[in-house]
Amino acid sequence: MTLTERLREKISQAFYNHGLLCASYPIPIILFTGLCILACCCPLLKLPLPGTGPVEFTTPVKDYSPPPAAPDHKPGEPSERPEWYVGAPVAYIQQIFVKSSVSPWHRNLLAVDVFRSPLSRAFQLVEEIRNHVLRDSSGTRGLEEVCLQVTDLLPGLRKLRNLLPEHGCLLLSPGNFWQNDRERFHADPDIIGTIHQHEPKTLQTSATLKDLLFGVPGKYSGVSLYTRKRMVSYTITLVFQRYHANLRARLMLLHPSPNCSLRAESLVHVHFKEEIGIAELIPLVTTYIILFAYIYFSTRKIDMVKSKWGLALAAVVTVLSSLLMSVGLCTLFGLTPTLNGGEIFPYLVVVIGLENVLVLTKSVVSTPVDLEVKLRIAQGLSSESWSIMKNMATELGIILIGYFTLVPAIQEFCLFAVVGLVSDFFLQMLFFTTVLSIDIRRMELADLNKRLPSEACLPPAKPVGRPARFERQLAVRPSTPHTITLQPSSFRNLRLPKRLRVVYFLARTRLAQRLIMAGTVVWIGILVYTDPAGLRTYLAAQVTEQSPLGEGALTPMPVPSGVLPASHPDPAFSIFPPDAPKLPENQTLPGEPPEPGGPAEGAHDSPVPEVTWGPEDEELWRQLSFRHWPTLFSYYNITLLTAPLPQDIECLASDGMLLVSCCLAGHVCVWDAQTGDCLTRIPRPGQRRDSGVGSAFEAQESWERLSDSGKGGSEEPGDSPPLRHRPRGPPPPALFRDQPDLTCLIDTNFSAQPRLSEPTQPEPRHRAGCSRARDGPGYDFSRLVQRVYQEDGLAPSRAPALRPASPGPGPPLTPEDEGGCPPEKGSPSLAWAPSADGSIWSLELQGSLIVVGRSSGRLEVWDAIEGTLRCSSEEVSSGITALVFLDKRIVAARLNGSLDFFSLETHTALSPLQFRGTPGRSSSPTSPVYSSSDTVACRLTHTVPCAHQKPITALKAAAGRLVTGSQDHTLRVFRLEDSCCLFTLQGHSGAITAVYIDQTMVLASGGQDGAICLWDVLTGSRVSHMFAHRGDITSLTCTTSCVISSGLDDLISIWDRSTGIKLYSIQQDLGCGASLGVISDNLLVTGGQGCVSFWDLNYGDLLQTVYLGKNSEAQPTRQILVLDNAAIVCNFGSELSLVYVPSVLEKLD
Amino acid sequence: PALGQTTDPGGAGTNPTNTEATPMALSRNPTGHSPPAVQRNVTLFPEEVIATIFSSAWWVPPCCGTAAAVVGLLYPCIDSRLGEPHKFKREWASVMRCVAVFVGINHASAKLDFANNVQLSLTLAALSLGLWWTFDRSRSGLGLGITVAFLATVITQLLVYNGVYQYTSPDFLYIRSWLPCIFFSGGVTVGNIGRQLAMVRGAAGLRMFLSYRETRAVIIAFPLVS
Repeated sequence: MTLTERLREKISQAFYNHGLLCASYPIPIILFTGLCILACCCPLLKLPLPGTGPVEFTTPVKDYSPPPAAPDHKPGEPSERPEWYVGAPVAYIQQIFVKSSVSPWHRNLLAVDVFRSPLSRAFQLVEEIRNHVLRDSSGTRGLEEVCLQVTDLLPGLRKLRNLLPEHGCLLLSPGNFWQNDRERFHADPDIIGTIHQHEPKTLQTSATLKDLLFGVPGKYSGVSLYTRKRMVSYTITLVFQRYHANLRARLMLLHPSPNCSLRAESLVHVHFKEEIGIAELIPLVTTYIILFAYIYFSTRKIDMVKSKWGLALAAVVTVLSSLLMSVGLCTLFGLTPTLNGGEIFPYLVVVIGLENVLVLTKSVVSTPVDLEVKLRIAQGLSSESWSIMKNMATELGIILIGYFTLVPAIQEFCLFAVVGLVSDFFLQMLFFTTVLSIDIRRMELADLNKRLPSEACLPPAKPVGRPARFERQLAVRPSTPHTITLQPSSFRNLRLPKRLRVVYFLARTRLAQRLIMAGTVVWIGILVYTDPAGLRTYLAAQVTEQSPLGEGALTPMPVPSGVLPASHPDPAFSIFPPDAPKLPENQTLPGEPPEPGGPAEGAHDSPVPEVTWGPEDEELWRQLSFRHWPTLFSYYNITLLTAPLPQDIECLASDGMLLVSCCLAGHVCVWDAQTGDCLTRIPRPGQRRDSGVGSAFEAQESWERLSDSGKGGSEEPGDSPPLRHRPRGPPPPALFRDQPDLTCLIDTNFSAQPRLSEPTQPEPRHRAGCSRARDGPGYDFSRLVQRVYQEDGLAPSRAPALRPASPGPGPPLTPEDEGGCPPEKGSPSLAWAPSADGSIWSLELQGSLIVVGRSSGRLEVWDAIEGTLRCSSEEVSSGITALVFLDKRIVAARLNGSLDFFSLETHTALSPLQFRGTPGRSSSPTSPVYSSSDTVACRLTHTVPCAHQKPITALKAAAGRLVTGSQDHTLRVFRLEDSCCLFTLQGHSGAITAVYIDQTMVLASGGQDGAICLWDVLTGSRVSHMFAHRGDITSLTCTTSCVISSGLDDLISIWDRSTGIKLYSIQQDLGCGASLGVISDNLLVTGGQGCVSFWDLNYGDLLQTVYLGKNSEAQPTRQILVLDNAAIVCNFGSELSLVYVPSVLEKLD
Repeated sequence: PALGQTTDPGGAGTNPTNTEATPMALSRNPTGHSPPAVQRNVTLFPEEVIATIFSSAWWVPPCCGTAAAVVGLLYPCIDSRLGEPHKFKREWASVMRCVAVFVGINHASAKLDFANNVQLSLTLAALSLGLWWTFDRSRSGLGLGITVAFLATVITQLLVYNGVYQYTSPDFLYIRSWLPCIFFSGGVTVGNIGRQLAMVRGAAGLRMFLSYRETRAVIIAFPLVS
């Protein structure tokens, strides 16, 4: 007897005994196995859900400095820092956690009193925080200067305008429900109602407003009439731009807590993962489909048992729980899974396999039926024991080989697989065998039962309920000596009523099960698709935070008012821009120390409430905050995503030749306003630009745009009645017939990437533009120039659009802006200033220069064609809200109300190339051209430090005057040359939202009060004052005879300029209120849902409505920009459309 | 697509410009498989994704599919010629397992970071042999797989040499060194499917033909996926 044979015999014997054991005591064994599974899986509870949540990384707060922009360790060398821990974070979040309760509690207090007084403490705290002055080496700064400044909310969130901060610090507290106004809070009769006002009625998985403002999960906030504990907790959330530690110290000073022991302080960096794109999902879905096919084909073979479904389920449970056990065990022993669980899961299942289970089943059912169940199981097991062991040894061997590939990912996979295989074996032996024995026993019992009653009195109802039984019996019949005769189906059908036959049919085809399955699949799909906390929120950003501080119970300190705030400043977090994987760094801000315990004054003799600070409190913020920040930031159009959704366009600027669009995230695109080609794309700083492929390549990439959440481009969801207009006179009947059909003139619909689809108008130049953008690296400049020449005849008037023609003294310049630039060489090497962070708030374009104002206060001048940074100003604390670029002068208005005047100095080295303009062109006004060989310097000439008390919201310049409008309800007029303030115009009772000034010194302004004022710029007096709209004025423009205004009420009103009488108004589509443009003195264009409409200004007649493609059907037009060459640019949020308007229209009247 | 970037250390997952460069048309494998060069940071624009999928030349997917079908037909034919029908693990579950492992190999080659190309190639070679041993174990299968891999590699070399398309960073003459391994495992997988289909009893010629058309559809899907 060889060794192998002896081994074989031993194994066989062991399996036999084991089978006997399993079949004898099925229930205890199953219970034992279940306990084992649970025990092995419990380490999993600590793991974050795979892939769905943000990733955390903790660093001590001491000596914190933001991580470097580039990973400092060598690629091969392992580092304890996660890969994403690079670059500055998006923001630092500091939360002050307040826990309070009313003490003593009197019987006669109302239920509302539980939280009235605790909540009122929030106002005081917010005030303390707002008044806090930060001191560091660079001097003292107010909170406003260091916190993250936000601009407008997204247009869709108008109803939250009063609740979330705009144009200022992102500081959230429950007080926001009452506009941070204590009086309002005290006057509020229904606090609960106010708080729950905006709660969605339906089930919602993303953060609600209450969650955001309270900062803790709803059930922990204690703000509910049914709470028993009478303990209210909330947080005050403060978002910083940079890390500052001393707010925490001050709060600790203000709210000392004698017995709060501070734990080691640390920052938690949170990284929100990128979203999964469809392209990535396709392989994933494929693998899952294969997996299901595998499971299907495997379990299909289970046969001759009592319940196929039950056994199949048991088999799948065996494999799945063995995988869970594997992960749990590995975690227990210190291995942290780094692989994407969802990705490798199918492979793990396939590697572990269902084979053994099937083999077992087969061998057991093939044992003689007349044996006792125990013996059948034991025999079946032992007969397959050898092959099972051999297979397992082989698989382990193969996997172990994989372990020696020394590739970390493969090693991890193999480790999981090995542990999974072993635990799978364990489960097969204990769990599955036992289930099998139970099944066989049941089958035997069923057979016995069958045999006893005669087959004739088979109750008819029974087969209906259990159609599977028939099949099984049919299958069993050949192998069992005692046959149950079934009537042939035809016979059976005869005896059955029709109703039963239908039921039979349903049962046979398993219609119900299939429907339910399909429904479940659809439901899960919908859940996955809509659930922001699920798949779609695989998000993005890293946040650092300081660990929760004080541990241990806080001393209860009754306050006279009976409120005991145990405020606990939680950690500060920094959110990292997930953007470029290489660049971002996380920086952490040390959180504030807990300032536990309220001020202790006047102790009450009644028992104080138990306000304790327990570990569960420390975990509180973790449960909520991380997942809610993406929501919060998305309200302000700040994306934390690595692969962001297409973003809306924030700013648009054009000078007739070029069109520049940008989004808040910082991508700037330069388009050719004639053809719609993307010329240059300036990604946001920090994102690596692949210079090897060039701009055409990047045009295919994801494209971010921002909504016009900036100045003036606001709209409000209101009612949307159908289009109506009030004609003032009888419309000329022939007008409509005379209209040219504009539809064919829609030129190019250039959305983010050049599409392969044909432009609507089959004009050769456009197609050329599109296709070239796809296959040519870089930009062939000469072709553009040629094209411009060809077009010359088409568009004779070529006055720069946004530039009031100011014939400033300048070098003789070519009329053609792009002409000055030499052909691009294909791989522009771009130098990105590492410090150039902050989103773009304002944008101007002139010649080939783009002036960009960032939220960081930096002013940058870029070359539009080459995408290179020409110069930039030093960083100032306050963001640039508006820009004027006129001639060689740049004026920047800042959030803190100051004005900076820059002058642009060029040292021109004019090359002959610049003078290639044709004679026909030279008639148009000249504009400065900055060729790439120039050196451009930007010099600060003058600063008006306190032009306004509040942020400047509107800035316009013309005729040598500069007009600013601010939130402090005033306008100021400056002289451009010497930046001397001429007038301060007062007359509005709300913040200024729109300003218009033109060459003829007409000045109009609109404010949040819905009023329009016309001013005389020469004297500074108010000419007329009109109450125009309900809600803000969103845009304002004038023609020679009338004033056109649009408001948040989605109305466009036309006023007589001299008398101030309203001529008529036009109802706009929902959300399209601000989109209007004046093409000529009597032609107005307005935007609608996926369309633009042309109106005759004199009569108020709708001339024509042009629909722009199917895609933009649902998109409201956000903004319309009229170019000088009779083209208009419509901003549909994430898409731009360029529409040519033939000059025929101008001759209409 | 990102064939060239698959071995880019650290760059495979996170490089934002890791989309396909159309001019660098990657060579697809004539047997219809190329690693699922999974791209990240792709927008959710459907058009763009579709454009990415069809960014390779239009004839590549049909050619790959046809080639895969031919290889799939060859396996049972050779079996019957040699008179040794393949008996090892002849069931659909095993075939699906084989397909899953093949997809996994592709996945690994596209997504994992290897220290260098030699390591990548060796690992893939070992994995391919493991695939053959686990699911095939026949000498004819091994021979045919090697032949297919050799022929496909030569064809790809010729195509690249003639400039039909190119790889971003070739390291084995004109192509990537791991390509033969992928060809080999692809051949084995397709052969496995073909043999299973040929097992269908009582299938007349028409039915066989239909089955193969079905297979072909499956195979054609692969390059699309990747």
